[in-house]
Amino acid sequence: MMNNKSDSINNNEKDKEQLNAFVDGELNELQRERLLNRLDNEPELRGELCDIHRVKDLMVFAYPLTTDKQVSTSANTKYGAIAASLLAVLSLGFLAGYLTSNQEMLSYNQLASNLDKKAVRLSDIQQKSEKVIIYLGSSQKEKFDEALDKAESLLTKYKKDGAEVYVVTSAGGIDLLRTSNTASQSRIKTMSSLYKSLHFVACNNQIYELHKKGEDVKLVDEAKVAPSAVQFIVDHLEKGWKYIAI
Amino acid sequence: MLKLLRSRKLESLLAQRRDRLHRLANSWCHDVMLADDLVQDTLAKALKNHHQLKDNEKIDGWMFRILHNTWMDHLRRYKPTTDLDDIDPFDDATPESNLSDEQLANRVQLAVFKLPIPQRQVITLVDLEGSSYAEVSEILELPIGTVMSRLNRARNTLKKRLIGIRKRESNPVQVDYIRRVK
Repeated sequence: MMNNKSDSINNNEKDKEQLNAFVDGELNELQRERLLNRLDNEPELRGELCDIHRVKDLMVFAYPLTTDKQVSTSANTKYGAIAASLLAVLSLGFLAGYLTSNQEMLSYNQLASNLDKKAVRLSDIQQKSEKVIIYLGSSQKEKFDEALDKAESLLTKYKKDGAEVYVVTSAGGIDLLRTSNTASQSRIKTMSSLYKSLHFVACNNQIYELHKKGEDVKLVDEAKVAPSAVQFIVDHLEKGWKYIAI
Repeated sequence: MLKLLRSRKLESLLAQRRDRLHRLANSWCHDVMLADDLVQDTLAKALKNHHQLKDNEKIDGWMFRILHNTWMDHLRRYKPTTDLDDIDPFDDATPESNLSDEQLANRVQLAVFKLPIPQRQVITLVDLEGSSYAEVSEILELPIGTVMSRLNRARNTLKKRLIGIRKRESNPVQVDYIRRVK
């Protein structure tokens, strides 16, 4: 009897270690496949998986990567706005985790085909939908390309299902939609003419911040402006849209 | 000349990692000033022992290992003066749903700080630095099984302490706190 109880606890801990390894991208294909099958059939295991995602999101949220100057002069208001922007960007991942209080998840096997371990948030697991928000908060050229590649691949893959994609930009990501960024401008134009259900959104709060710094912000014709990127994303997540952070 | 170039390149690689090292050090020791010192020492040791780094691709693990050793040295010299049991991450009266981002971050940081050091190091390396289990095993000189069990225990503890502290009840999304961070 004692042994049975002890075996059960050990198995439970082993299961949790497997779930951790799954979340951290440490399982091989076979292990992952087995776990996905179990997740389809075991609600408790799915609940545990949600919790691990949440803890992971909280960790990232609580320790934003600050620049050296921010660390040493945290009271300096010059960097306050940057810190706030950074916090906002990092909050999104956390926030997305909290928007799915309902732990009912659809088929994990279905999810697996889209699984990009760095981009998946709990909101991806919420509803069966091909409506996706791609959030871009970085000004790195490779991130721009990654966002556009992701949008293109989703629109191509789910064309028959009426896929719709919003590329929502804030913080440094807004540079993607600025006319000064000639590198991506032509690609945005081409993609917009090819895919009518592709939309680009810039965060007005960020534009305002840039204006305050004396920067002239001109956006490409394809860009729409939302009062707040965060609010925009929240509104759409509530309607069942998926969320991918680049 | 080659030596000089290599040294310059290393300096640049180290400088690029300074912020990440600081974040990691701070997550371990929960003390910004001490984290500054640990990072300084780590960078100085890295520069002094640059010849030990054979492959620049492995610089992250190498740096984290130096940081780990530096912190262990510090702990051996100065025993912690704060009794962790005296710190209650949830000691204020703010309703959970009204937590600001800053309050929430503080609570998470305190909960992490209350973890035993070995668990704290593993979870921060995995979650903040994205280190693989094999890398953590190498940095902390632990078997991978131990890395997995420590990570599991750390996440279990954090789950019990943190999940639900700002979970929505049946109300609509609370837009206010989201706006505040912009």
